Amino acid sequence: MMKQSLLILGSLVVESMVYGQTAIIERVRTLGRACSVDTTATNVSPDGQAITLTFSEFAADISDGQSYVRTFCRVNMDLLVPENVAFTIASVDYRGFVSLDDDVEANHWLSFGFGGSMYTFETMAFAGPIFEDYAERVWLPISNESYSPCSRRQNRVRLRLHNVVTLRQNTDQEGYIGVDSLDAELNQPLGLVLKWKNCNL
Amino acid sequence: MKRLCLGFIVSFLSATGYGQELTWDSFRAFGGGDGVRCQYDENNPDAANTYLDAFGPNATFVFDSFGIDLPRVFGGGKLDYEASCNIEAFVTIPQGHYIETLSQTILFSVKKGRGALGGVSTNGFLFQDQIPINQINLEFLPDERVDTDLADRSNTQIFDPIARALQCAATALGPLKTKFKFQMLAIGVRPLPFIEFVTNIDSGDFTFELQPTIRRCG
Repeated sequence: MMKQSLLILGSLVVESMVYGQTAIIERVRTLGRACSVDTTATNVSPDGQAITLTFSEFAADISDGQSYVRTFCRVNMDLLVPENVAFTIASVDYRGFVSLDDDVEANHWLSFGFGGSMYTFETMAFAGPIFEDYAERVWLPISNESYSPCSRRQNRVRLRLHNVVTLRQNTDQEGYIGVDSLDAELNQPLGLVLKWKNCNL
Repeated sequence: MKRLCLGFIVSFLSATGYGQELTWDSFRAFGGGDGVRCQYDENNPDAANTYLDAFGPNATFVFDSFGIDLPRVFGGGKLDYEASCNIEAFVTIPQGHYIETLSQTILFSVKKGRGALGGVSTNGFLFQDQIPINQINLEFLPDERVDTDLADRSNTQIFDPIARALQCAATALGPLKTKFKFQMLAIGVRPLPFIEFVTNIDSGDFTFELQPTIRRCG
């Protein structure tokens, strides 16, 4: 009887550990002209709950004779998600610097999603003249379609954050925008927040 | 007691394992035509402008500069421009499983002046060219100016019973190594040569996602 109780208890402990309501960041990869492995520092916290990306070349500049420039950085976060739980993102934090002459515009775009449909929208817009550091928390739209797919077992899902910055001008002015860092945290009120829902409800 | 132990083991295994997963093994990309050609060869990675990030069942192809730029030409010259990219992505389907669904997503940017025609389409197959994959077609008509910094298109395909039966027969005895084949085509047509125009289709960054799900046969 004692052994049976221990086995039942053991089973419950294992299940509660594995089926906990927490997604874990297993792996982060950056791709694109602006964030090659050589120019991006990726730090995942030991508990797999937070990431900080620091960029040294995620920047675009525009000068005489150019009307439009762009660059991009793709961030793929591979998450281990418990069964019957679906996640979505609440926010992303960006820090950077922008310097624009008069009549120069800078825009930051984000496309995010777990596969299938992506949510694409403009997150920040700057108009010159401007010369300042920026720190922006971008809150993302949330709907049923933006949640990760439900699964009856623990599974891997890829959270995609596709970041694009653009510069435009119609005159011979100059401009620069750089993204220094992106912060992401799971289940925390700061940074990138993953919200979750019970798939059985 | 035995039942309890068995229950515990089954519970442990199902709880800690992912079950069987499709895995991406390698890929190759090569292009042709007038525009910026995609290129990836594992024997010459330094020359690549196309990258694959595969982990678990998820695959992301990133093209640094796939596409076409229609030149701003006054007078004569070529009118039609085309860039193609062929991708072969090798995968392993676990024994006794089939690919049930495939989600494709394209992220793209386009700048196109009025008068020019352009588009991108995908054309794919799985399993010895026997299973066609739904196409994604983007078309940008001449009478519209397009200035899109970032946009996406996607579709999710549920494979029909014939496709499932083919795969199940092939995976009955062991894991199946097969490949996805895709051809992407970017087309641009600039206006008539005797009209002075200021228009172009700029190639930008371009990504292509594949996310298959598998299911046990039977």
